[in-house]
Amino acid sequence: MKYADFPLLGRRPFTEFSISGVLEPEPAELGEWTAARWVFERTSVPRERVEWWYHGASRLWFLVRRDTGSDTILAIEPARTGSRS
Amino acid sequence: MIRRLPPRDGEWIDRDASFSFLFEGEPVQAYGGDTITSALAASGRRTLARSFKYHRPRGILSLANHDANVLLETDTATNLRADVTAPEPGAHYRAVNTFGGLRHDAGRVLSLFAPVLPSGFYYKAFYRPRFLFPWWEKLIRHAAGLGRAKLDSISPRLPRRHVFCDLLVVGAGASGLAAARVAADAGANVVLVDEQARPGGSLNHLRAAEDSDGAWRRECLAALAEADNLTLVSGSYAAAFYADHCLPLVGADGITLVHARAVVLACGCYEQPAVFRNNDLPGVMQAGAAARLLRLYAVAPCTAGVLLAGTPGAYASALDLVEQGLALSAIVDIGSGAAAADRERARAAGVQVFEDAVPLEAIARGGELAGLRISAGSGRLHSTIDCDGLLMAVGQAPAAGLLVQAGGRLAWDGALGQPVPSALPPGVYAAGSLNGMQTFDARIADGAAAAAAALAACGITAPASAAPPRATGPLSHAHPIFPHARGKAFVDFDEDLTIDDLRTAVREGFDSAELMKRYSTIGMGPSQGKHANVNGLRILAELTGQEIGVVGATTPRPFVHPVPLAALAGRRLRRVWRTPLDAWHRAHGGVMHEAGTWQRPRCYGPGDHAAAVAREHAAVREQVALIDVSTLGKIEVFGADAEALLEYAYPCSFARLVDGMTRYVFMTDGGGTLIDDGVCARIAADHFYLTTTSSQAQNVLRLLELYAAELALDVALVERTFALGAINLAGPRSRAVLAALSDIDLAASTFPYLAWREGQLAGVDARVMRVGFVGELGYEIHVPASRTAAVWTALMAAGREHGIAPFGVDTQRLLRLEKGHVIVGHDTDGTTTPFEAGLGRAVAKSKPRHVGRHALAVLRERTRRTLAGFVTHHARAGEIADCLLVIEADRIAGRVTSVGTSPAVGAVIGLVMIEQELARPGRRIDIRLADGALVAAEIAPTPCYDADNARQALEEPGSAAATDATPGKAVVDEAESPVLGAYPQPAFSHVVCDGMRLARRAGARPEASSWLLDLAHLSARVVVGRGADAWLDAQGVTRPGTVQSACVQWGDGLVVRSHVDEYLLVAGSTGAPADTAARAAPGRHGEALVMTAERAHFALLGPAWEAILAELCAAPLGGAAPAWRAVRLAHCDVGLWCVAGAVPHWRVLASAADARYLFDVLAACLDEQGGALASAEELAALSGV
Repeated sequence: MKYADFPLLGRRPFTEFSISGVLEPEPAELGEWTAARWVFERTSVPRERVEWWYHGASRLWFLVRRDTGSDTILAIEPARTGSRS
Repeated sequence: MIRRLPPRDGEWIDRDASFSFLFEGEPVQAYGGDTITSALAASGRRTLARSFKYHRPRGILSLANHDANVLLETDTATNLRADVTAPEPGAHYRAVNTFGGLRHDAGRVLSLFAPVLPSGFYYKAFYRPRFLFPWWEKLIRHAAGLGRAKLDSISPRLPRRHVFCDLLVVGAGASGLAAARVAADAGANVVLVDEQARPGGSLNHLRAAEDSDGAWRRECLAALAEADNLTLVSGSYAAAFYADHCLPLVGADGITLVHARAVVLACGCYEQPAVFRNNDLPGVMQAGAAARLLRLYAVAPCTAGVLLAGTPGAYASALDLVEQGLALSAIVDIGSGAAAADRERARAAGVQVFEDAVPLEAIARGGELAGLRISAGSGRLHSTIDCDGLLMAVGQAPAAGLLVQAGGRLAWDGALGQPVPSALPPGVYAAGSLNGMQTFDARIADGAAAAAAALAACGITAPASAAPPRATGPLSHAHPIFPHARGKAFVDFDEDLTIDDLRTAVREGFDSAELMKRYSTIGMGPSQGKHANVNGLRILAELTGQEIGVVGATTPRPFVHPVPLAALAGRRLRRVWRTPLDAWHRAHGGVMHEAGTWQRPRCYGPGDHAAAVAREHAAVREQVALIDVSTLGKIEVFGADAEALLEYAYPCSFARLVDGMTRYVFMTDGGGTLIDDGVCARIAADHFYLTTTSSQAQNVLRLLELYAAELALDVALVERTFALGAINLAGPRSRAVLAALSDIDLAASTFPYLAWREGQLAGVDARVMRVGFVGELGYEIHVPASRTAAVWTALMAAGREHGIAPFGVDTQRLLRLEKGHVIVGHDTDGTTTPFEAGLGRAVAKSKPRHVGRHALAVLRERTRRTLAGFVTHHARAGEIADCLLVIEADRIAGRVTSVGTSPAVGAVIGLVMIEQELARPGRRIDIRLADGALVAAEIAPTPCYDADNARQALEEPGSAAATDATPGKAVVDEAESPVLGAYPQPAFSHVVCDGMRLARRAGARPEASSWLLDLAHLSARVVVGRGADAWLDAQGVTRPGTVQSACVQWGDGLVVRSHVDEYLLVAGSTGAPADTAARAAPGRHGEALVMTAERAHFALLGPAWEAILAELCAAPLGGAAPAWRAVRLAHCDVGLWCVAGAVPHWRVLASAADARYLFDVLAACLDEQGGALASAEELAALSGV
């Protein structure tokens, strides 16, 4: 069972989160094929990547930098904490 | 007790506690502390079970659970490991897998078939000739195997707990104890686990010369018992090593998942048998088993013993056993490498020594050991030694399963004759004999050094200590394998595998460690190769002409030791969501079914389902009826960017949605697939109220939160799915019913179709939307969950004169089918686009940016399927079901998505997802039934009922009276706790507390020290929006600065910043400003929105809860610190916090829909721990609040 230390929450099991894939901002110019690639293409090549993780109990999204080659968490930050926090 | 010896120092038995049990029908005497096997050995029995395949008599091998020779069963349990199971007084144990009992097992004739049962037998026999396959299958299924599953016995509900610690030490032998002591002294939080009933490891039965009186062990255990930062778990085994240092400890009371920052593996070694003819006879055992019998249970293993010496240490062990009372007549030295002085000492003790000897075979009499035939000396003289006990002291193998699972590697150490750890992953340390240490001093020093290194890795300072060098002499015999031309020499006792079986495997090409294992099944039995793998590798090395160090080894996967299914299954929690009307439905004949996590009524009984649906259908169409739609997802969207968020999330346009109106909306994913639909009401310019389908509520909220984060929008989202109940009141007379209860102006001119209004309904704040899902004049009424049941009851009462009736989900589905309304997720699937579902016109073309825009732009031009209505009068039309195929010219052209018998049309109607060119009204289609018959149907336009929406314009008598109705005529003054209704009288009575009806258990246990209380009556508020800070400041409430982690408490009240621009306030009872704020009237205050929180609220008092929370919650709760924790508890997302004060206790806030499920789970756990449920008054008495 894997755990990580999350900002605002503390040490949590991964089972409390749902993961929504890699952070990939929408490209500025989208033709039919670039759009299809952006929507559908996913690579599972081991690498460092930033993922969207959602914590259901707090309704908070986190950006998790993870190395899928070594299966290690490198950094975690909350995606949105409001302008005044 | 013929073999029981005089009392000795350190024995585990309690001679004052004598009792008897039955074994194979015969009484057996036992002492407290005995295992079943030790008691049987004390009674003089040697044959204790039959083997797996050949049904050979078997007895003690390791007496350490490293073999599965003695598996027993009772009427309720099976495959009991007799070597480590304490007998129960009066219980009746029988050997598993016998035909006619242990002594006269008819299965023993299978031994005669051994020549036709070689390894790989299954693959060969089942392959050719094929007609024999059933015969073989029947024979094998009958003859082979272990205990029978007891299908009629009730397996226990075993909990699965989580424990968090700095250091986990696996193994409480010399090195494990030393490691635990260093860590405990350094102040670390330590868990020490050992599979034996008592800590001490081999020190218990193999007394080391340096600690011959056991003083070090006693002193160490006493020190560890004093340390309150150390938990010693005996009688449990670490079954696997998972990621992030998670090890399941399996004990009689279930699984404890230990999450450690560092792990010291001090698992020790498994003693190994020698392989020679008849080495499985009862009476042949490992020297360690004899030592356990003598030291721990004071049982003489034999009356005339022979010891097979294969290591230099064997002589010392032999003499130690003699000292303990072993009748040893001879030592057969098979190349121990022991010093001559050792041999002389043995001879001096009266033991005959045969040097340079080879065991030829063990001789049986009556199926048990009677002698050993050897050849010895330079002349290879054969001789026979009479004996009834043969003790094998030929070596050991490291218990390295966990180490390899952790990612460590082993390398063969030729000098030691066994593998040693060569690489270890971070945070994992090996110590003791597993690490190649032999002497007592070396093991202790190694344990201390491992602990120091582990603590350093955790950032805990401990005195550094150097690891001692590994042992240099051989710890194992290089090749204790002595084939015999005839007869069986067993390698794997579990699977009855002999040298010949492995030879067959290698000859047939399965000549690597992994292949040989799979073909021969070596190491795949219940003991997972603990006593077989190393000898198997030795044989493989010899057969393939390789060095043992290079043949490799099989991968030890979880579990290193079998785990009972009951322990794996855990408590088997099944989460169920209930609406606030659940109790009403059940009390009024609701036929409940599962709709995802929810429970919903399909229709209301009694009697035939079709008749009930028809009755309810008529009530909706002709009079008035109501349905519980509380399962709808409900989300408030509030903030300056609320509209921008919705424009991005939905392909529909919100530009023309004005205040006071609603519109139908649907959502797609990035690929343009339809994923959800619902209604969106604009409450204000910056405030929307959304509904979603029942199953997608959490998903839509998750996506909206994601989009808000991605676009950095100023918006607050509040899920109100569980906080609000919803009722759809539909039918031509619905306006009249509503008018009798509400102050809302219901006139069609002021409250038109698709509008929403807020007002009082039976004295309750309600949001009412005019919807037409079922095709009649209808109002969707949203009220706080705690008032929903009361509002429903008021509607039923007010509607009585109009013939009101409740209707269920099945009726609703038929009603909407007549209107051609699509149910997303039912008529659509994971490939359906809005264009196919007939929603294409609502996809905005001009919006610059929204989710799925690119895909929808492409799909708009490429749509080839469509949802279409059909109608049929065919005789077999009633057999049409969802998902049946539409066949056109022998190919699949579509499928049925919904079907029903429409009273409005007088025929079977439905929806098909069909090729576009076939979807012309009047076109004939053929639907293939389950039996292949084709049913003709005709494409029909939708809707087939009230196509021009005339029903929405109905002006029924009574509507004019709306304005005359007395508001609050039937005022609801009592709210309901969400757990109410779960517990029937008389065990529970109801109390009213702060206007809230609560369940109270009658006659709670007076002796209970732990309590569960329903606190739903305590007021709570959610405050959201950019003005939330200002509003709280104006109320004088101190608010926490950070999201989630921080909270402000006063008394037992709480303010937590639960999200960006969102606060949760829970009232206490001290009268602080926050208490007042937590009771503030809901509504809008400038840029802040105040809402009732409407959640389940429990208090957990007493010592029992620590263990229960450790079971139900996988996150570390970090003790009773007064912080807020949003965690998953028993599959529910909850808020958990600790209230300091006179009586510190835990509080849980959960969704109202989870309330009864969670209450049941908590109550069941509490019941096991001897706690009780209590009422709010009792809490007050207990806590002084």
